[in-house]
Parts: sequence; C-alpha cells; structure tokens
Amino acid sequence: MDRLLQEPPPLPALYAKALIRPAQTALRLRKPSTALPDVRHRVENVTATPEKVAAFQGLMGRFQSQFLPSGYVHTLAFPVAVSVLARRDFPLPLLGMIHLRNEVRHLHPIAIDERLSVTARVEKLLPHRSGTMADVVVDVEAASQLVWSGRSTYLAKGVQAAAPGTDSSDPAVTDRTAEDVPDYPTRVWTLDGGIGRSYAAVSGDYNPIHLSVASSRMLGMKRPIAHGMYLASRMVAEIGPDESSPFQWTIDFRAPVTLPSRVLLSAQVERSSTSDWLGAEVTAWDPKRRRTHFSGRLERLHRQAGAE
Amino acid sequence: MNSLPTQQDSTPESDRSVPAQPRAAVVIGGNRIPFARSGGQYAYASNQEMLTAALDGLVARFGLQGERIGEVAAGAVLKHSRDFNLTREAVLGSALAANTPAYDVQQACATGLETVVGLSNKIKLGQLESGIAGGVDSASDAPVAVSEGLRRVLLDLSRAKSTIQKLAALRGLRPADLLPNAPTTSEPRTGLSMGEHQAITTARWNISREAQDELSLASHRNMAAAYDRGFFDDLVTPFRGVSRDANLRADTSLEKLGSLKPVFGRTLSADATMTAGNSTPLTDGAAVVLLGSEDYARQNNLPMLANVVDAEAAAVDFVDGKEGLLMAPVYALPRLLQRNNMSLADFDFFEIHEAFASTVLTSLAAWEDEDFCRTQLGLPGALGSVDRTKLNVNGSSLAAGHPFAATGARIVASLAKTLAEKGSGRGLISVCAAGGQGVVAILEAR
Amino acid sequence: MTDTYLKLVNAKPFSQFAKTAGLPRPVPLRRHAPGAPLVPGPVLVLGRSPGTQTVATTLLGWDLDVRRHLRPKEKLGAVVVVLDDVADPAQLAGLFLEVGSVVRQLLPGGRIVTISRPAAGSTEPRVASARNAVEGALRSLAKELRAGATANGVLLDADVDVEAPSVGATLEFLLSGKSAYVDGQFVTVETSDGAAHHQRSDAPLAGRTAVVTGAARGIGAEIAKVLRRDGAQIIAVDVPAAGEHLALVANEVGGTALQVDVTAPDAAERILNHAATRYGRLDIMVHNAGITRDRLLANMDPARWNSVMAVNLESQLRINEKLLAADGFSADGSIVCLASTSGIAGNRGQTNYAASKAGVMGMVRSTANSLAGSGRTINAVAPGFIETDMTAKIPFATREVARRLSSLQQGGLPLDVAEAVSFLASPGASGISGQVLRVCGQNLVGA
Repeated sequence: MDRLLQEPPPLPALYAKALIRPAQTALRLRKPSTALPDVRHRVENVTATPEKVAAFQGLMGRFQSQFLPSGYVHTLAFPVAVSVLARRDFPLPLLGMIHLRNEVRHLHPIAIDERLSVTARVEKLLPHRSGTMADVVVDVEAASQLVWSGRSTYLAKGVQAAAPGTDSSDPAVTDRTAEDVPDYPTRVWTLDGGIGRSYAAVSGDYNPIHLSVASSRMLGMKRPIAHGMYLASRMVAEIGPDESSPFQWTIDFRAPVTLPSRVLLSAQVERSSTSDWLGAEVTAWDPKRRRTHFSGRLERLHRQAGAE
Repeated sequence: MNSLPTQQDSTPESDRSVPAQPRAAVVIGGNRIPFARSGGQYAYASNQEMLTAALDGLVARFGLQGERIGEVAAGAVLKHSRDFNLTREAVLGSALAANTPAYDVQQACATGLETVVGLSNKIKLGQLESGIAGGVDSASDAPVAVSEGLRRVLLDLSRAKSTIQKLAALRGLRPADLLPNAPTTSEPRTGLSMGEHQAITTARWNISREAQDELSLASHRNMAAAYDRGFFDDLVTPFRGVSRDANLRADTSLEKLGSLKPVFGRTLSADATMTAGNSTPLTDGAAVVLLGSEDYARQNNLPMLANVVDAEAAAVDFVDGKEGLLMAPVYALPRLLQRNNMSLADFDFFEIHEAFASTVLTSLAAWEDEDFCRTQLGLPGALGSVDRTKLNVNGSSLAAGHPFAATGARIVASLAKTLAEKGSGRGLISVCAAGGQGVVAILEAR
Repeated sequence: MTDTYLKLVNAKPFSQFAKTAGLPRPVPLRRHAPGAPLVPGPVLVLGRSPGTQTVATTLLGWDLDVRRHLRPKEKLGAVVVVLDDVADPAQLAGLFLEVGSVVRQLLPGGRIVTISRPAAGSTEPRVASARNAVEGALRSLAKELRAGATANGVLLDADVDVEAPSVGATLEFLLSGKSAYVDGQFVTVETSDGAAHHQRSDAPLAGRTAVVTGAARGIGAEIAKVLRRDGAQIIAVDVPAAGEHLALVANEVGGTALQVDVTAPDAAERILNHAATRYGRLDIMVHNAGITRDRLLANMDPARWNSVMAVNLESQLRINEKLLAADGFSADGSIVCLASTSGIAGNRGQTNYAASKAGVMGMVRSTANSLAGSGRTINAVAPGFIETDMTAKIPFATREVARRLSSLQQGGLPLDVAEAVSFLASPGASGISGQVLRVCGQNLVGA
C-alpha cells in the first residue's frame, strides 16, 4: 500500500504524536501490534534549500559544492521516514528508539536544486536480546531514477514486539568493559556541549536527548548525546569521496557519544596506485574508557554498478 | 670547498646534480632576540615588535643603518589579520632604509628556512645583492578569533545600510557566539595536536623515553656551553631584559627530565613517553639572517660565514595516518643528497630541528632503517647513520625553545657560524613543519 | 637625572630670593652646539711675551673678535693670558690685576685661559715659583667666576712653544662650550706633534674608527654620539647582556654593535678583528666600561673588589697590551681611558673603585712614557659628579650637596665627559699624552 503525502510532515508534530502514544497504549486506547505496517509513505517534489545545505556543509567543515552531501539526503528524507515510524500501527515506540546502524548507497550525485521523490517503508522486525529491532528503508529518486537508498536500523529497548527468532544483535551495544580499540588514531573530534543543538539547527532533528543536559535528563540520560547522523555525516564528509562520485557507506553505532566529548578516530583509507580514493575503514572510540563509539565502512561504487 | 663549479666540472656525469650556479649566496650573519616561553617575559610583545627588534639588532651588528636591503622576507605562523604586511611594517619601524621592500612567507615551522632558501636563490640568480630572511612568532600574543557566528553577524552588520537591516543582522546573534575561539596548534584536517601526532610516530618507531630525555639533556648542555663560550655573543641581542633563552636549563639532568609526567600520547595503547622536558614548549621570539652575494659582502667589508648550497622541500600524506606528521624531512633528504651527489658522510654538522626529541630520533631511525628506506624512500638500502657527536652541537629547539617561524633563521645563523669557526666542511639542516611538510638545506663553509 | 634646584633657581620668583639669601646660583652651562660661535663675545689677549702676538694671530685666524685692550664696560667672551716666558713671580702682578679689572665684564659662559709652563720644567727656584704661582692664581680665579664662566690653563713643556698644534687645539677646546664642565684645570702639551691647527673643523675625527666600551648607556653612549658627531666611525662595545641598548646606540650613531665582555680573555682579539674586517683600521680606543660595587672596606668581599678591578682596570691593561702590539692599531692611534676623581681624592665606600681608577691613571702615565715619540697617545679623563644612572642612586641629600660643591654649583653631563674624550682622541691633541683631564667643575667629590 502506498500513501502519497503532500509534503514532508513536520518533525515536531510527529514527535508530539509519538509522545502521547505510550499513554494511549497504557489506556488501552490502541492495541499493541506485533507486525510491521505494509505501507510506503511517499513525498514528491522534495527540494533542498541551498542556505540550509550550506549551513550543514559548514558544520561538517566542508566547502559548499553543487551536490548534496550524502548525510544531508538522509536529513532531507528523515521526516518521511519518521512519518512511518509514528504511525499508530507501527509496533515500536518512536521516542527512545536507539539508532544502531545505517547503510547507504549513494548511487548518483544529486544536484542541490534537484526535485526528489522520497519513499519510506519499514522492514525486518527482529528480536534483539534487549528489545526489538526494525529497519527503515528510504529510497530517493530523481527523475524516476534511484539515486540514494538508505537503510536505518533502530532498536526499541525492552519492547518484545517481534516473533521469537534468532537474535542477530551485536552484544557490544551493552558491553561496558574496555575493548580492543586501534593502536593509533588518525584524527580526533573535539565535540563541545552545543554540537547537538548545532546539528539540530541544520537537520531539523530536535530530539531532546541531543539538545541539553536538562532536556536529555527528561528522557533519563545524564548527558546529551551526539546525533548518530551527525557522526555519520561527519564521517562521510571527512573521510568519504567528494559528492560527485557514487559510493556506499555503512555505520554501526555502539556506545553513544555523550557531550561534550573527545572522540578518537582511525580511518584506514585505501587508494589505488594512482592515489584514487577506493574506500576506508573507520573506527571511532572513547580514549578514556577505550570503548568503540562506532565503526564505519566506505566504499567507492563504479558508475555501472550504481545504475542497477 | 668552493661551490662555484669550474669548467672542468661540467662533465656529463654531473648532469643530474645541481646546475652550475652563476654565483654564491652567502650567509653573512644573523641576529635573534633570546627566545622566551609563551606567557613569559614577552607576554605583551607583539610579532611586529619582536621582528623589529631582531632586525634592529642585525642592523646594529652589521652597520646597515639607512641601507636599502634588496628584500626582507619573513613571516609568522600565528598571525593577526592586522599584520597582513608584518615584515614590511617591521622594516618601516626598523633602522633600515624605508625603501627596503619586504614580503611575508608562511610555511609553518619551515617559514624561516624557506625565506633563507628563497632569498638565496634570488641572490644566486643575480636578482638581489642582499637580503634579510627570518621569522617571528608569539604564542603569547596570538590572535584570538571571534566565533564564526559573531563573524557572520559583524560582516552582515557592516553591509547593512538601514537600521532595520542592522537590527535584523543583530537578531542572528546567539549568546554562545560571543565566546572567542582560542588559537590551537591542532592540524585542521585531523584535529590532533602536533604532539599527539608525534606521539603516534614515536610509538610506531619505538623511540624510548630514555633516548628522548638524553637528546633533550644534550640540547640543553650544548646550548649552555655555547653561551658560556660566547658563541651567541654575535648571534643574539637581548630584548626586554632577557639576554639568554628563557627555556634553557643549564642545570637539568636525566633525573629531572625523568621525573616529568608524559603529556602526549597518553590515550595510545603504547606507553606515553613524551614529556614537557623532551618536547619544545610554546615560545615567543624572532630571528633574522643577513644574506648577500660575495660582491656585496666584500664591498661592505662584511664577513662571509657560509654558502647556502641547496635545499629541498617535501610533504607527506599524514591525514590518513599513512605517515607521521613530522616525517617529511626524512623524505626530502635523500632527494637533496642525490641531486648534490652527497651522502650523510659528507657532513660535519647536522642541525635537526627538535620540535620534539622524538622527531629527531624518528628521523635518525628512519634513515637507518633498511626496509623503510627501500619501501618508502625508494633507496637501495639504508640512507645511513648520523654521527651523534655532529648533531645539534650548539643545542637546538629543546633548549632554545621554538617560536615557529623564527626557528629556521636561528638554525641557519648558528650553523653558518659553526662552519665559519671550523673553517671547512658542510652542514645539513632539517626542519619539520605542520601540514606534513619539511625543508632540508645544505650550508657549506667558505 | 634632572637637577631640579638648577631649574628652580633660574626661574622667578625663586631666582630673586636665592640672590638675596645668598644661596648657590648655578646657571645652565654654555655647551657646544654645531654652528655656535666659539666664544660668546670678544676675546681679550693679554701678555708681554712674543708668543702673545702669535696667539692673537691664531685666534684671528678662527674669525674671532680679538682685542689687545678692552673699552670700559664692554662685554667680554674670553680672556687669554699668555705667560709662556714668566720667569719671576714679580711679573705676575701686572697681568693678573689686569685680568681682575675685566672679570666683571665677562659674559655668562665666558672663559679665562692661561698659557704658561709647568713648574717642574725648571730647576731655577725663581722660575719654578713663578710658574707654579700661575696655577695657584688661576685655580683660585676659577672659584671666583660666576654664571658658568670657567678658568683653565695650557701648560707648555720645555720644547713646546705657543705655535705647537696641540696648543691651538687645546686653546680651542678650553674656549669652546665643549669644556663647559672643565674648570680650574691645566692641560700639558708635551710635544709639537700634529698638523698645524689653523682651521677649526666640524669633523676633526673624520676618517677615524673608534671603539667605545661600555657604550650601551650613560657616559659611554654619549661618547659614541660625540665621536660620531665629530666624524668617527663607531664600534660600540658592551657586555652581551646590554645588547639591547647597545644596538640602539649603534643604530643611532650609524656604527656597529660588538657584544663582548671586556674582561673576556679574547676581548682584544675580537675588537681588533672586528675593526680590521669591518673598517680596515682602528684609530681610537675609549676604555669607558666600568662598574661600581661600593662597600666600606670593612664590609668588602672578594667578589666586589675583584669584579671592579677586573672590569675597570685589568681589562684596560690587557686590551692595551694587545692593542699596542697590534699592527691593526694606527701608528697615530689614541687611547682614552675613563678614570675618576674618586681615584684622585678618594671616596668613602669606594676603596675598590678608587683603587681601580687610580690604577688607570698610573697605567696612563706609564704607558705614555713608553709611547713617547711613537705617534700614539694615551690619556685619561677623570669625571667628577656627572648626572648618570650611577649617580642617581646616591641618596638625595648627599647628591644635592655633591652637586653644589663644585665651582659651577652643579653636576656635569655625560656630554661634558664625551667632549673631553673626543678632544683627547682628536689629531689636534697628538701633542698631549699621559694626561689626566678632570671633568669635574673643579670639585673633588663624585664617582
């Protein structure tokens, strides 16, 4: 079933809706479901605002280019994705869901003024040892051609919504002991306490757990944490190729990055004999606790492969 | 030891060596102000004041009052925007003739050496008869930038014409925008400080804490001894009541150095070995070198300490961590040696800038490492060993301190004098720089 | 150092009060300024000897208004009394009384100069007494003069007559503002060496290269400036620690700064080498570097004694030895050493300093003997109370008393010392050697 929305729904309204849903469930006003809605939300004629793209690129430390940054496409499509997650028939609570993984195939460069169609659906409701996981798949098309496809995996902790099955989750998510992190960093990110607010301003994602000590405490966290997509976008911006070449990237989030924070990164970049960028393996970690924040993999796609 | 090749030298075998040089570029002498730790005696001295003082001391030493020098080239790494024409402003404030042209150069810590190389080349080409090269840096009086937010608001405000437009511009201001951005020595592309970068290189090359402390001790002892024998009497002019480098610790010892806690590399899995004792502190200071043609020196009865023979710059890809940030000189040296048909054995003195003790030690280790020299430098085998008794014989940056852009001129002047005292031989200079860069140069006694 | 009292007493209403109350009334001294006349008015030449006319002719050659007689009430710039052939005390009355009759006509900053012969040059008691009597009369007259006027004398050795070049040069110096703080002193001309002093020159040191030690500050810096003004190329020497000021001085005088500690064993070599390579010559050596480490002898420690002796005396001895043995020092080179009136009269708390300065004077006299006939000269200048950073440290009351104790009732300036040094270093002074010229305003107190 496809549902065509007139415009991307405003995120604050979706969050507000999500806030009252647990109450509705508690009051038995709605039935908890154990299956995913078989629906695709679609919005057409989505275009980026150049000033907002410039602000996003500025925050990532990149020069402005004529193409959308890969991370920004996610931001642009995010309200459509959230509109699916905020559906009454989506079995997991939107607020408090943990971002586990992103997998993006950026098949074609996307001009900043391009008219895009965004389609979002949910897939793979799977049990996890501490809850239930689900994927949101977003496809972005330009002139009926798939240019960007992203799969985001979320975890709803403590929710048993999926049929029992194989637990495919990574135990590291809740592992509190020191890990084997790389010997040497190749770069460091010094993230101040306001980085969540700065990213919220350029992405529109004002989830309270990212904004301030006070707002994150409301949701049970001692300190705000960085947006997963901030970390992913910055990783792609700093270590990825420029936006004119097709590539794919994945990021697996482990320990969240509390703010403020100093994050060490090791980026092992592969290059061809002619110094062309081929791909990179990235690990980011907390130097004090020696815990991995995330690991990433970036890979160049050949144009033929990208055309599908 | 004449660098002017004769007719017979132009044999085909020397095709790959330095092309016949029309004439020599000579180091006449140098001057610097004593270096002081950041926030110390020069806390309120600006780059322009320090560079002017260094120039005036040079003018006094060589009687250049009112003289038009061919060109003055200098620079600063940490620079205020108001100092866009720093060197020219310093010249105008100095005792040199006001019609002396000047320009700024910036190649991070290699700035000073690069100004020497550039002006020497102009002298060799006959474009210049005389030149003053140098640099200055103040980590105390460093520029503090306004935040990006405030900067945008201020720029919008300056463009705004009406009151309404001005108010609109101000509305964009957030309280956090009012916090200034303090200067850092971090590499822009990695966010890692120079010390953190070097800590990685140090660990990779397994440079021990003891070796670093020993090198630091030697630097302090050599420099203290050089001061005591009057070596710096005609290289340094006091400034603001400081007459010796304030960082110099003549009485330091391995015990004292060994008691210091590591400051860099503490988050690595390897043991942290770099301390405040075997790393250079942030430093304020200025240094200049007087260069000229032989004719210029003779006509003005000026000494000729050494010839500037040749130089080579290199850069490494440090961003991906493939190579250490400060390893570029390691790559520059074999290219320089090859072009000049020389080997490490051809040098009587080595001046390897001590950004950190481990920078020197990793360079030495790399040149001795057969595998590294083969795979990374493309050499048939190890480049060779540096005789430690010929290394930084009058002390270097660990003792003197390291005002980034000033270090090159300090080293050139000291080495030229060392060569002149010996009366023969060659000296090699190696300076690493931020951005994964490095410059090496050869001086030759006359 | 500002002399506040001097300013006060020269301004109304205090000037009137000071006159009535009989307080000391020092005036700003007449000092040399480029282009200024040598003397402020006509010069009266008195004397009975044949040399008198020679002197008058010399002065006429300098375009001065020379008189052999003075009209009543006419103002007078200077009196030159030629007494070169005085042989009997009885000859003095006429001339000195004549001088006395015109003393009140002397303009402020006026000069009285006698030209006579030293008593020691005669074995005849009557002659010697007459010659010595001149000195006594002149020194007393110097103390009677007011308004910045001074009285000094030129002494001619046996073989020297009034035509000797250095007599003219000395006369010029003593008449000029350059001798402002020289008072009651005698300068002996020993030989007739040197080029005839017919022409006065604005650059008597042109073509000469001079080393000034201790040139970073005070008297040394002033010496460098005056030698430069008089045409010399300057090598400004001081300890490395004083390099910042030294560079300023070197740049001001268009010279070169040489940072060397004069007590270093190789100081002479470094100075000679610098002069040879950079200027190709060395003509003038001014030993000015000096320190004080005052203590009563009962409290004196070896460090204080030894450092003062090392800087003030040993360095001069060692450098002179090498300088005089070196070809690099000109055949007609001159050495000027800074002594002190402390070394002549002694000064409480300055046994070490006075020893060193008296030692310098001994060295000068001895070296002059060995240099006799060589063309090279060595002399000393002994400053009295000079307004410097050093004397500024003297406690207020002591300083005020010291200032007023001189005939000129004020301290001298570093410039006054520098003028004397430049004079002794000039070719005109080549007939003068082994002399100690006091620049003390006729006072014996001071550092």
